Amino acid sequence: MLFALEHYHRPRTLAEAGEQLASDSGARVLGGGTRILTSRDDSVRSLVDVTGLGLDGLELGGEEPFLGATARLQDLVDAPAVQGYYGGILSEAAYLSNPSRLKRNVATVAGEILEAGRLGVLSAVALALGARLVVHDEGECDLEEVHVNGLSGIVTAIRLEPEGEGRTIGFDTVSVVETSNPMALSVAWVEVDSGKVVSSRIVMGAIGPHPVRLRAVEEILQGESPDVALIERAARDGLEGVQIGDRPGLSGDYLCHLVRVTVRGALSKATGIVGT
Amino acid sequence: MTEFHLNGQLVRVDSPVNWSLLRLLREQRWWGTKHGCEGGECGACAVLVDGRAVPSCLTLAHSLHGKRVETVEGLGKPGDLHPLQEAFVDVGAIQCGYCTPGMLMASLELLRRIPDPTEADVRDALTGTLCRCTGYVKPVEAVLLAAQKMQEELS
Repeated sequence: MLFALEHYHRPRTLAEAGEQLASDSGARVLGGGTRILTSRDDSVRSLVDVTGLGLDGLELGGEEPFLGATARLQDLVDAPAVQGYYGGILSEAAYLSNPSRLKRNVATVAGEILEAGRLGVLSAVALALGARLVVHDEGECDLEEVHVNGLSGIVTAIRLEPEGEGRTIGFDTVSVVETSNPMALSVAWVEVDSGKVVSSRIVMGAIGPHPVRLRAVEEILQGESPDVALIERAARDGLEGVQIGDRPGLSGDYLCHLVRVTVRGALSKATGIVGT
Repeated sequence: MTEFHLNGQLVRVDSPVNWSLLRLLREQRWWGTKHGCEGGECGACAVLVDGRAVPSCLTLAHSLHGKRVETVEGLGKPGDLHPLQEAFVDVGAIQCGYCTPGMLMASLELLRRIPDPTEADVRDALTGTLCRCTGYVKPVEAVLLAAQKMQEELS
């Protein structure tokens, strides 16, 4: 319940939505509402509902794949185009993002990617897929920057890496049960050309306020031929010096160990190299 | 003023801007939809909005303009129950009954989407509707029975 809410706007165009958002410092964008409507945030005085603006398209084939900002998580689970993109990783991530079908029917892609915080499985996968947010009137911005600096405009779509020869992705989680929130999560997107890693994005989720790229792991992989030894070294050496704070019942050292395990698992799944 | 169709009837309401659909329904004495967690976690308040099962506690009443809302009151009536309701009774899928309206609406969405569901389909459809009494075995049986009856009626 938002006790301080005074205005609800249902704009007919993006331009109108932008004006409504800009004209009121207490205005927030409303997508599915799964977070904002339960936030009890008394600074929210106006909501600008963008769900009627046709921003729910899903285009994952071709050179410029994108997810519409207001597509529902359940659409990602169900849509054949999403199931066929990178082996269905977005469908799986959307499913794991919320085990409740009722909430997946409501929650939007942009809301989940921007607001899920530590528990954002979809957000971590999107970061590994090089997500760039298309913001109305402001152009594109990198998801990683948005996680750090925040965002004030209206996201209209999330652009992702196209599929291509030698490009693969995998993710691995450690959870108490399959549908519970992960204790550790890693995603590995890897591009291999002529037997060498030419590009990669390795993302750690479930730790800290938002998913982050593990650039030290990426540097170890760069230019190398993926094999069991490389994956072991990347997961071990790439996480040296990474400090993770304790959580109730889980020491930072143990969480770091879990991250190593999931980085290894994600790389193994992405490269198809087993035995790590 | 918000105009929408509630169980096939056009309604016009002028509610406070921060009211959820759940609050609106219950203030209008449509008490079939149950008030649970108010956080979208329990599913007791599930209704269909434009055919999708959603938690009504997470749906702003003002956002319903032009939409089609279905609640458990629109499903069947005493003496003329929907096959889903009949199956819940026949199988004994109800104990305290608080989750039942939400389960029925989530199941209705499923049977419109997949008239001949598997057990896994049913369990997926019911994720998000929590039942602390039955352990889900009987509700799952009931939905499968309803699907079978509805298929038989069609053929």
